[in-house]
Amino acid sequence: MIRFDSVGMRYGSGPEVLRDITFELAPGSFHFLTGPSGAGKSSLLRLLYLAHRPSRGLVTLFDKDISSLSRPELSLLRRRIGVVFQDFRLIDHLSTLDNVALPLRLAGAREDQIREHVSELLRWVGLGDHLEARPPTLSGGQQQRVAIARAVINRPSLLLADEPTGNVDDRIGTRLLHLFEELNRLGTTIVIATHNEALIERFNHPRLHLQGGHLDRLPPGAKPY
Amino acid sequence: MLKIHYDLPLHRDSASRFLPWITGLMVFLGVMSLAFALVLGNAASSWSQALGSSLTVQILPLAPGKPGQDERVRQALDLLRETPGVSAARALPKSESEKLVSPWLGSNASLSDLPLPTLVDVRADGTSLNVALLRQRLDAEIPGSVLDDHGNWLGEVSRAAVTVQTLAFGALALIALTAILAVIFAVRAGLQLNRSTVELLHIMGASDRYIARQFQRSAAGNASRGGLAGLVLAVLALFAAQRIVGPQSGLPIRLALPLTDCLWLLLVPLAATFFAALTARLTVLATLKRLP
Ligand SMILES: Nc1ncnc2c1ncn2[C@@H]1O[C@H](COP(=O)(O)OP(=O)(O)OP(=O)(O)O)[C@@H](O)[C@H]1O
Ligand SMILES: [Mg+2]
Repeated sequence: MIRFDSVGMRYGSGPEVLRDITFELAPGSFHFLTGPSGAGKSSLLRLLYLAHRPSRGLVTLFDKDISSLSRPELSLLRRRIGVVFQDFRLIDHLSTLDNVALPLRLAGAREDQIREHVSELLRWVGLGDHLEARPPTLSGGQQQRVAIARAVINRPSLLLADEPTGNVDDRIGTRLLHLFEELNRLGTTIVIATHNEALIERFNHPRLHLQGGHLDRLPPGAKPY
Repeated sequence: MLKIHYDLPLHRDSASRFLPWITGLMVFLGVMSLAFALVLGNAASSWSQALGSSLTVQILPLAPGKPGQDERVRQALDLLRETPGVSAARALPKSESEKLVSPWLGSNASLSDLPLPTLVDVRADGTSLNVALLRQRLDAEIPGSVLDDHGNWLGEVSRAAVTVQTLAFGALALIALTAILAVIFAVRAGLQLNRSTVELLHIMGASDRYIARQFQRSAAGNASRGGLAGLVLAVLALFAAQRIVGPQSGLPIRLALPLTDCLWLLLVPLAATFFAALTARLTVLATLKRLP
């Protein structure tokens, strides 16, 4: 599903943020991605959702070497990846409904199906009363749920979430993780970057730990030293 | 039908708000210079038709003792009438010739005593008349005859008309270039303003064409709105000019354009819309190439 071979990454001509990252994720797996602030979690996710090219090494996604893909092939691949950004990245002038509908529209879904599907999911994440609201009028936690709804609406093959529970209380955080597990049961491979040790403990999944530009794999329940 | 979804707030940013104004002005100027070029073209060809189909032969009076004036005029008429390409030849009666010179000599001068040349008005049909050959024969057979085919004057006029027309087309090309540059600027500014959303769409798997289409449609919409306004203003201005420089003004130029030429004018806002859309598309596609 995902394979990194001695991957390095840098921003512009800056120092390498990630060095010699090598790992493999099985299809349908569920991982937490942890590490201190600034360790490069968001950067690793950027490589995964194809927003950044590695400065060296080989990235294989959906069994394809991404450096060999054409632009149209890359955009088809991107549509199979759902992303929850650390800063949400909602489109301010679109309603909640239209924001969440975006991946469906990109995939060319029918309008009537889009509306039904999207409002159902928004009700499920507790935003049934805010279908027409613009993101700037929502609270941080509500925006985060819109971002999550947008990431999962298309049942992506790969879901990447960057601190998806950073702005919500434990009850909603747990509920959102249950949503991710539900998606995982349906076959989606999941990587969640988080600082929330309580959640990591409650949900029994292996973790990828980033530190000093290197990546360690830890089995479920294990803690980095 | 596909409903258009604008994921980008392109209608809101100032760069695209100013696009209708620019295209409006450009279309106005474009229609005016094209109309100018067409009017000139029509005028030049109607002048050359009118002049080209008429020639004048002057039979100069000769000293006493040489063949008589009337005799030579008759000879000239015979020669002209049997020349292929000549549809009519008519000697101007003395009274008409006198009328032609009277403004210079005063009407009470006793013109009948003056040895005036006799003017023969020749109508040619189409282009089948060989002017050089006719001149040769007249020189050889009728002494004291001079053929004037208005050729020099015609040449000057049409050269002038073509020059001004070329300038007008040049102006049109510059106007089009300016409009294209304005669209490029507006689209770049729009891309810059909506940079984070464009990147987001890209990351979510929107194809370059999907993103370009939004800019393209917005540019086409803006350009067609501006272009329509520009066209309406230009047509009003042309009508006004036509009223001032109408047939009653006595100027040898007609501002009224035939229907086919009016269609060319309609083409200006259409072309502006098309090129605005195309420019927007190419600009966006070129910029998107820089994203990974
Ligand atoms: N756009 C950028 N340009 C240059 N450097 C960057 C950029 N984004 C991140 N970095 C640098 O890369 C390093 C890793 O940043 P990253 O955002 O991946 O960390 P993180 O693990 O996600 O941190 P956090 O837990 O605070 O979100 C940091 O040193 C940061 O300064
Ligand atoms: Mg981060």
